[in-house]
Amino acid sequence: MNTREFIDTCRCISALDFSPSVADRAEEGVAGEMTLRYAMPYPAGIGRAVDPDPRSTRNRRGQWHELVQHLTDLAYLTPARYREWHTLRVADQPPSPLLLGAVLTAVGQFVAEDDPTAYRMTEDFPPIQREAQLHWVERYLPVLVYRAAMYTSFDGELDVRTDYRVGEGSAYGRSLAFRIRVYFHDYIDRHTERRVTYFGEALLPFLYSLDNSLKGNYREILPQSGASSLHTSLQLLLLNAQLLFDAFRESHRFMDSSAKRYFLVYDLEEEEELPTAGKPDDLREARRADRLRRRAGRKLQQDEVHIDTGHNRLGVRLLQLGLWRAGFYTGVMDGAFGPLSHAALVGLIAQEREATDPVLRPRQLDRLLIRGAGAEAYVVDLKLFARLLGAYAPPTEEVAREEEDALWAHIADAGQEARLDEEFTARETTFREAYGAQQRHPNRRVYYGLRGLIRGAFRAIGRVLRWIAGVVESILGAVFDFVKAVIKRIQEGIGLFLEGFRFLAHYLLGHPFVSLGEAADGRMPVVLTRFALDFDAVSLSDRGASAGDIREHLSYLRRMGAGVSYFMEVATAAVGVIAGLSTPVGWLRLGVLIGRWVRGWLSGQGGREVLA
Amino acid sequence: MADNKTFGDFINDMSSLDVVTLTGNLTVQVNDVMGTGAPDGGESKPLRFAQIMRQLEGNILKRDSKISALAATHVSIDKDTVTFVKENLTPEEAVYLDFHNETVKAAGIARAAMADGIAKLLLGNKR
Repeated sequence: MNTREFIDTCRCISALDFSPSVADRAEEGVAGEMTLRYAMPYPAGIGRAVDPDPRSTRNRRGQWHELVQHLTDLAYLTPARYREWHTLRVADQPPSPLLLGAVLTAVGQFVAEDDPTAYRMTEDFPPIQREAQLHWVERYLPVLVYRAAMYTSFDGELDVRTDYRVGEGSAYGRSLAFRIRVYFHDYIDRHTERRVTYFGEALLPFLYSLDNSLKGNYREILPQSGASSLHTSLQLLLLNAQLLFDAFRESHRFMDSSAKRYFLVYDLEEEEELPTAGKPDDLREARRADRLRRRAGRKLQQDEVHIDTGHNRLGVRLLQLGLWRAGFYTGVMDGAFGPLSHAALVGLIAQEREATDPVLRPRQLDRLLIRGAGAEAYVVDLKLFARLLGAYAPPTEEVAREEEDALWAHIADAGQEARLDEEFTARETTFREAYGAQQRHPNRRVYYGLRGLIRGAFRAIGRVLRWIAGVVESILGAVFDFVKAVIKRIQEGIGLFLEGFRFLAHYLLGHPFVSLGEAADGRMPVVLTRFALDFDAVSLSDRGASAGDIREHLSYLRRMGAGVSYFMEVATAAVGVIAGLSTPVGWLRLGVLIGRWVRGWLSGQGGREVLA
Repeated sequence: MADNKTFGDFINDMSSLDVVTLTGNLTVQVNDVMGTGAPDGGESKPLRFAQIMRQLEGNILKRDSKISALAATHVSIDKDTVTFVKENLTPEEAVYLDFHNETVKAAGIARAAMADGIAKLLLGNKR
């Protein structure tokens, strides 16, 4: 089936044509085509999500990984569980019952501590039964991931709470504690798995460290010992890394308007070649590079550099976070500018040389990172570095939508949409290492911020196009951002749509509810119920079905009935989105559009408006 | 469904609800339906849904399938309910009567879901 046929089918459904032929085509499009195109199982299931067959399950699996990452960061899961999860992931093994139980318990705690209005339309999380809990998570996985991701986002996704009370046992309190860990925990020298769960009295001293790093600019609003509230400006700083970075720049005077230069100097144990702006045999460029080195050497000798960027290395962590967000840094935010940070910076500079709308001129990029003369030290011009990272900061929702549209328009104009559709899932496998190999490096994290990913991809569209065209090049940076942005849309949008379509198929397209009982003599008794559009219902049961088989079937009917309003909205709206397309688009583009509607809906903005 | 059907037509269709419960020989071969997928119910057993449906269609169409009605309920718009039940139910068949009654309740939910879905589709079209 191609998208033109699928769009036509959705138009039929939108026009209230629920005839069997339409139902069959819709089923073929969703259960057949979408499952393969989007690597999402239909229906969902943890058993299937870890199925070694990579074609139909990878994105569902990825969504579970993201959930586990967020739950670990929010201290609902221990780091040991996180390691175990990724060790099994690499081995293509399903989670053990114990591990799955821990994840389900974590989900239950998270839902209980999250804002209840986010779950007003969902069923309640089952309190005890593991099987029922697993069904709940399977059903609402995109919702859960969306909510949990807000609490670990550095992109200002989480709203500041004016009614927050220090020490309260909430997901918000965990989120604040998580940020203190990221900015102040020393992963190298004092690594420990013991974590303070909620932000509270014990973590207040870290705010004083934060203020010290910001040169005392926030002293007046720092909470005193025993304080019950936390000033919203301080909350905002913790929730939004870009604001914190800007505050850091301002207090250390390396804003664009600052007269003085500000440098970061670091050593690498192994010599690495820096990228050159021109050809290697270009004598003029070589001389220029040499001049830059000598100048850097003089600056070092004249002590015009500030090596320390804050006694807790907050500044370096913020730089690493910026590189991580731009899709180049795969390491831990540890405050030590080592080989991984260096490689990420080199990669970012190289990418910026081909940016669609560069914020730095080539000569400025040459000066951004230079090797000190006669030593292994590297000198980074932080003013230029900050300006470059600022260009990668997540844009507003509206701008992100424009940039996403521009990305897809470029792909279509280049005639690459069909190729992308055909090869995306297969080529996604080449990104495994870029995700950070958490089974070996359990303190590494994957960046999932959608607006930041779109921005990163948008800044170097040319790279993305060359990757689609099959020209071999580094996948970190814009290409990695693009792939993750597409995957994120698909996981969220298609994950919810596939679940929603089950409801639409059962309640509008006449798809029967079928349960299979316990097998006897190689045959399984069948119990089925079909609701017809004229509101007649037929139940048909095998005479051999036991009371238990029938109870199971009824429980299935009840479960579906409980979620029907929620999912009917998702499914009918997504069908409306597809039916409203004036021209056929590729499958991935279609997935992105559905994902955009779903995100708008999840955020409470209203889905359709975000497609305008 | 019928061409150019309006929401009003659907509302008229909703004026009554008929639920029928049938029993018969309705089994599927285990080996034929085991696969990598789950049935549409999302239950834990890995099964091939399409295969199940093919088998079922084959079974139901058989001349000797011996499918018989066990109970039927008619609910009119004013909620008057009439239920017909097969005579001389055996103790084993009593469980199906509970099943039937539960299905009547589920049909009420289904009716609301269908109306809701249709309304949302229409609402989407108007935007």
